[in-house]
Amino acid sequence: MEKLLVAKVSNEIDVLMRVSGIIRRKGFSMKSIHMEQATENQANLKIMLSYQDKSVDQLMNQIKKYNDVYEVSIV
Amino acid sequence: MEYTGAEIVLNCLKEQGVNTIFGYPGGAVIPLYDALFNYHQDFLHVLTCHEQGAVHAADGYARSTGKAGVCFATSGPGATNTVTGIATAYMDSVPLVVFTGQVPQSLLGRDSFQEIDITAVTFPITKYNYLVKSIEDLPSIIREAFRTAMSGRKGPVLIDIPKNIFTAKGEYITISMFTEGKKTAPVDDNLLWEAVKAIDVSKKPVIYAGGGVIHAGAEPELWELAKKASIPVANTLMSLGCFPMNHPLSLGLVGMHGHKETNLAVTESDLIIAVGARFSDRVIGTKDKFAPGARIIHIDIDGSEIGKNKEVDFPLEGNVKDTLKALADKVCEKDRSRWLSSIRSLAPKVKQQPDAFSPANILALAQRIVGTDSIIVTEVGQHQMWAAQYCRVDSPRRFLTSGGLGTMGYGLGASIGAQIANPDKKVLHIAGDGSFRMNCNELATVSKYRLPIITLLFNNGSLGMVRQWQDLFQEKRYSQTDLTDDVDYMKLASAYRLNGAKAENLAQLREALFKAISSEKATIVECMIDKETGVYPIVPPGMPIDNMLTGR
Repeated sequence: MEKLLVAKVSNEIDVLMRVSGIIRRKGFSMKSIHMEQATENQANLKIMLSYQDKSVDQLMNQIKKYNDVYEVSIV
Repeated sequence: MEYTGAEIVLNCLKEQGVNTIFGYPGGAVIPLYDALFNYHQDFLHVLTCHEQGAVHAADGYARSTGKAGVCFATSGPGATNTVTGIATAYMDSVPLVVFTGQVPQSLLGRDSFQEIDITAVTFPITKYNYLVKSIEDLPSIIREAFRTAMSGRKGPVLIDIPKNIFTAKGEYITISMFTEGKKTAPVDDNLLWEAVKAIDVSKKPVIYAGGGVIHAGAEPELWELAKKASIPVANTLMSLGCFPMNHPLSLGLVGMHGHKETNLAVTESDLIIAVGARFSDRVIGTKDKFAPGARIIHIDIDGSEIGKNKEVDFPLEGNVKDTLKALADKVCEKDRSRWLSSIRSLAPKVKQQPDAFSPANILALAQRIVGTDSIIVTEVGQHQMWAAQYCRVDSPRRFLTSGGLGTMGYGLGASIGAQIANPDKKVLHIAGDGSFRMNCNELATVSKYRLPIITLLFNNGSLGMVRQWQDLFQEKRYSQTDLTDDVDYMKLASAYRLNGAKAENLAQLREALFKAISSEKATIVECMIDKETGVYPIVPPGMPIDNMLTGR
């Protein structure tokens, strides 16, 4: 299954490491990843997730917890 | 006013109410320690022997007080030495703020002397971490770090500060008090009422209490709910002490080494009320056969725990204290004496030999002499499980143990932190010889600060828990679990100018403990036990928890 994760995040590389790190640890694969500065402090992050037999809600709940992730959803 | 970065760190700590720091100096933190020299009236800095000991001590301080533990370490090896301690705190949701020095910014990324990218190393084991890039950010980062460590589900935070930021000057304005973290939204009223109805119609409910009860300070609310609706309380390792064990509703430890009647009660129950617990594999055994006939209410402040390891029927995401209070107010008063007596009838009739030098008798005697209000700190292994099974823990923050990570070597450092934080309380450090060897260098810290910690050292000359698994599940192929008797622990104690006593029976143990108490000096009481003594019951890994081996 493939789904697009869209997030508003802090405009720092750290957040990319945190988010990609948890995606890896929960056993998901990525098809593509794109991060682009939106404002001085914010960036838009888009990741195409690929997975089987997993709950994407669990992953979302983890990602939501980071201080530098402001909004996250699955499109 | 203008201050150096080092002074800003110390001022921010004062502002957060911190008065104790555990740490170890080194090149990158020389400016921080230089500033500390001027602030010696504001802080007790406890110098450990190793940074791992410092983090475990900060952890023991935090677990025994509920405040955030604070730790200093230098860059490179100092920082990497904190990793096991941070991971231990992370797995058990213990609030810590760890400050590491870093090479100056001009040397970052050049593989400079003692440079390690510690923020990258600790991404997966911190709740959050920071590499400070400018002195202007320093006060707000420190404040946010404490807020993050202490709010919601607690956890460790690391702040990595380059050396040049310690010496740079920046503006700092005192803020009088700790700012509260963001409030958790209350549980949805409809969901709450559904849970109340489920409790009211349940005939065989069990509360499965986790460490979150203690982190939330929700023991009074748990008590209210359990009392009002007559619901028995099973404890995870992390929640021991959240419910008085001498109360008839207390079921004690559940899970891999849980009591027989407790595991059977959970398995037979028709409603599990999980409170601040996370359905760890060591508790549930196997997911599908854990409380197979029960509906499940899960109360947790961390939404990512709900449904993670076990599907639940009533997800109550929110503050444990408020949610328990709301449930306790709404549920009907009930008499469930039939359920309670049927649980009691499941308890095995144990024939304890009163004179045997068994773990149960050793721990009972030690608690009788040292006092049940002492703080028990354990290492990891058989002795830890015996302590969890046999010690009576009636109040919270009195049983400190590495539950999630299972860190051998945790106990001595944590005992130091607990004793520093609670000078008027007795600290009973329960250890096995394997765990004790891992970080016994911290005996020097015990000696330096004259901490009257009593170490109860279970010496069976082996790595007992792994040996027991080899005995039961590897056809007695005892691969690398024999420690032999190559260490004289009494000489080791005296090398650190501490007292030591060896006990081979209960009479010797009694004498050794009385002597230890009256000397008010740290004492290692070495109990010689048989390596064939196992921890029972044990649920074989991956099996349902009603499938217990109760002895050889």
